[in-house]
Amino acid sequence: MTTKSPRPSARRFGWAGPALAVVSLGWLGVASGLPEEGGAVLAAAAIGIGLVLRSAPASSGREASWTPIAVGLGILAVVSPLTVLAELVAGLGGLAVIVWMIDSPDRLAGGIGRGGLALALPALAVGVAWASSFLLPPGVASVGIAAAVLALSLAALAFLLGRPDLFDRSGAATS
Amino acid sequence: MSDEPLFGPPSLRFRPRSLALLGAGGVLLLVGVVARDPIPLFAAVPLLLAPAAAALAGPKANPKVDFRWGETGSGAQVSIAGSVRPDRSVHPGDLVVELDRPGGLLEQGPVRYAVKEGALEFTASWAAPEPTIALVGAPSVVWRDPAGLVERPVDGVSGQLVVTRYPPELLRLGAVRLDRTTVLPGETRSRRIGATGEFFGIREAEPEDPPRRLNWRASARVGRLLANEYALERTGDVVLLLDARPSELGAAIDERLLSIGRAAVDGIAESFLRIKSRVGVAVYGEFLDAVPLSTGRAHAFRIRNALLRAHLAETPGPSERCAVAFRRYYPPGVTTIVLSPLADENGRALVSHLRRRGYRVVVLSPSPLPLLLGPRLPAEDEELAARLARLERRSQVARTWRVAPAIDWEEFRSLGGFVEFLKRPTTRRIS
Repeated sequence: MTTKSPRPSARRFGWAGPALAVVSLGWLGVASGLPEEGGAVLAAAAIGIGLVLRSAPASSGREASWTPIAVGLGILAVVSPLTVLAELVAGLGGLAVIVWMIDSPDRLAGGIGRGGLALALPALAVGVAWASSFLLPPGVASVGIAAAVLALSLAALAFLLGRPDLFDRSGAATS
Repeated sequence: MSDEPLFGPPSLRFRPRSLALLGAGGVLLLVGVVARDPIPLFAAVPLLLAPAAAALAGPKANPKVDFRWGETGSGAQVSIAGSVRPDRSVHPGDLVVELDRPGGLLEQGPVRYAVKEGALEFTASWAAPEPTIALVGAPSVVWRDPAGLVERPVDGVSGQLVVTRYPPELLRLGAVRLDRTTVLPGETRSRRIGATGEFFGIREAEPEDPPRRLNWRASARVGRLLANEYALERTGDVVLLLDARPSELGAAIDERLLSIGRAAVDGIAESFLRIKSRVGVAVYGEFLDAVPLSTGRAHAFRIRNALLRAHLAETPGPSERCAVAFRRYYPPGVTTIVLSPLADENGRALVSHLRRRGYRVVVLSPSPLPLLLGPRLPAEDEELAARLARLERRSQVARTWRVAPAIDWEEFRSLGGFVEFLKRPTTRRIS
């Protein structure tokens, strides 16, 4: 009979993810225009649940603490009125979810520095998408971005399924 | 969420979190396209790209590490400390080390991690509340990206640690005189150097030497601690039989008692092997697993391996089967120490069968009472129950005494009573 030792519990809380989530979800919540400050309440609830899960003693709770943020972001992104700034903040919200994971209390400090490249690629993609949306005429930009993201995702999926060696240069066990 | 990887090639593994993130991004993408709203699309972009970016940013092959670890601590404290130094392809902070804690050890706090001089150092603090012998397998070490989306196993982690904790009085077992089992023509006595017998010489003192063994005059003359050595000529055999059958106490208590018995067998065997006695070890669950009589350092490893693979049997084997099989491995007349909790009639029947086949049996019985009652002061009703349990236990041991000497082992940190008995067997008549 064996039992696994847990990961270090709450060496530090890691405030970068929550801070970014507060900024992005808070802005979307306020700007959503839902009646009776519904957007702000929704953002606060999502962040609150996420923080509670993040500080939970059970590792499964900490592991899933980003999900309320993603759900809250999704809802607020759908109900928010279309503005150029809202698009940028929604992208920032997506990045906040990634930072929330990277700056997890379950991992050793300095994750943002070590995961800089993994964070930079999505950030660059958001930047390019937002810049094109900002510069292109309205209407064309939406369709263009949707088509581009969809095509890119499908192409990436097909490419990755066909080329696992892109990620893995280790020899196969049977070779 | 499970830590098991979900898909991916054998080395690089995407964790379930990746799929969840892709799913969330996919839903946002779909909503954005259906609603013709670009805001969900912007939120979806980082979620969709993050797993692939994490995989691309990571090492392109399994990292190689220099892994070192060891066990320290004394008494009830068990400290497992080690370091994992990866090659330049990864940062040590991205390594995840998970230790499997054996059942007989309790956790005293979370495992501590620190990055020092290019290596990830870890320290696990465990406690051994009872005597135990436990095997700690090599930890699981993987590289995991900072967001926890992908991971790779690392190469170079292997090995096992054996944690042993048994009562310190076992050092005094050297004073026990074992009976010869077979008198062979031309048999020569082996000379042992140890704690008892005639004065043999002086050596450097070791940390485990008791104060009375130190030669204070010689130590004062040379300015460092010296200890006396004694020589005793002897040859003796002893067989240790561990009863690994399930009892009425339930699997949890049986497991703990077996763990305690296993540690005691290991410690007693090591003590007798140290004085060059021949030692045999047998574990009886449903069938007999026997290590024949022998001596030497290699034999100590054989015994330890046999004990580490010993487990509680699902079905108790009949006592007579054990006695019959016992005769195939060990000659009658050998001193046999039976470790059995004597929780039911099976234990006594086993002793009885062994006695009938000519073995000189001594029973060392780990008491289930400390495990059942616990260290806390019981309430009034529970106190009565505890007294009744003690009476019942005393009765069980007394009934065993009719067949063979039985020592009730309740204070697991000490085997003083058992050692004293072996040194000066009681004059109480055994019918």
